[in-house]
Amino acid sequence: MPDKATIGQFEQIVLAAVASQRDNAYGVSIHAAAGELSAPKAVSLGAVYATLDRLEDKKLIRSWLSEPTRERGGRSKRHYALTPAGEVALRESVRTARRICDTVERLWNTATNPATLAAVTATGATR
Amino acid sequence: MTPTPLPRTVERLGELLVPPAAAEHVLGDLAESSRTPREYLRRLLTVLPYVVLAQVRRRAGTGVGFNALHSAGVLLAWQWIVAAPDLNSPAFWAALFSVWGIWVGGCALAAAYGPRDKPIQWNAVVLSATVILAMLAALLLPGLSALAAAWAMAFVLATSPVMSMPWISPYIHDTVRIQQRLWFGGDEKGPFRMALLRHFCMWGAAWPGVALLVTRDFQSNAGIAFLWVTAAFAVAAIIAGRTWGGFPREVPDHWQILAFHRMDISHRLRLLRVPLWLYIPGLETRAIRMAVRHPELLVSALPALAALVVAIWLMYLLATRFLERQLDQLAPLVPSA
Repeated sequence: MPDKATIGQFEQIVLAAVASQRDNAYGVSIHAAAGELSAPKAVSLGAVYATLDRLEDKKLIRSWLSEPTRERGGRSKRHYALTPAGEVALRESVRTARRICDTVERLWNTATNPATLAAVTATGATR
Repeated sequence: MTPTPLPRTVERLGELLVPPAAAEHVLGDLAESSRTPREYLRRLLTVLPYVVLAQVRRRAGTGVGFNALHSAGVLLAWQWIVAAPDLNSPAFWAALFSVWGIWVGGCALAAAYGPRDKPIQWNAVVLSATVILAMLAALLLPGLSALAAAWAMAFVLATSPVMSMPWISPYIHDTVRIQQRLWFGGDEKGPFRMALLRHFCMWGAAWPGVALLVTRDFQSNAGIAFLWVTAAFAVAAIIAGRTWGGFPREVPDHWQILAFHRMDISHRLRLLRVPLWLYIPGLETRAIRMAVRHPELLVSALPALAALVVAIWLMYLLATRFLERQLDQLAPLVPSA
């Protein structure tokens, strides 16, 4: 089995943006989706291109060129789709994000409700 | 959104600035998402550094890194030995760094702006501009005249690809012969270790050879010190080549060996695009010395030099085509991972 590629936070956002666009994942649509995911932080189109290239080199996504269209000045779109390894990486990062979210929410609940402190501590002790 | 059609000059500017490998989809995206030529240009300039850096990362690779290290070493060695510069002078270091920066940065850009369908080919225009700029910057260095810089660069361009040509450092692509060579390594890492050793020996042996030439020309203590350092480097490299594995301990089967040789051929193709300063500073140093002492010879030798460049360029073309044919033959034999 090949080594799992490690991905950073912005790569996770772009990977999720590619997945969310399904059959319509190309530069402009991925940029828009990534912008929504990272709001209120703005996302630069150039950073999206660089990340797409990097994800492709890591074999987490694949790409192909479509037919040229007039609205694009007679140029093609480069479409992107997740590879099986990309889906695994995305699922893994979702699980990690969920664990972080659960832990932080428990901590915040503890801060506001001391009664849950024992439960959190007990959960931590059993791990 | 109904974007207004872009003026042809704006489109041409985009085609000129964006690396060919990314131009089709990047320029299409910009045309689709920009309502006015002004917005198109603004977005183009914002996107450009990312796109260029991404292509440098993808296409320049280890070849440019290798070139950067070697050119830095060779430039320093030349200056140290040839010109005996004032090492405490910031102006000297600024000039040296300018030459080196232009050369390495230009090579990286030449790789990034290479043709879309040929990932390892460099952009000839960018490379030519880099050569000219590096030569102009070299005039800032002590001890180099314009003629000497031109002469040295001509040697760099003419002779460096030769060392990567398949007839000079041959490889074996025939399957039967590859299997016969397995006994040499004595264990399961045989072919890999042998290739590594061969590379180390070639590189290691080149340095002392160069050092000998330089020392003979300039008779300086610095040259002798350089000789000792490089000889020690060669010995260390050969010892490392013999003892250091660095490859997976797997029994190489038929496909692994073929895959290894495919990788080796690809590597050679990449080397043909990288001027290997390492192999030729001896020649260059001698050329500079001759140009400085006998400029009249330089003028009479120019036609011969031009003929040499053309001849080597033709050999370069033949070599790349030969290697590309070998790659085409190997590709269908090796199953993809």
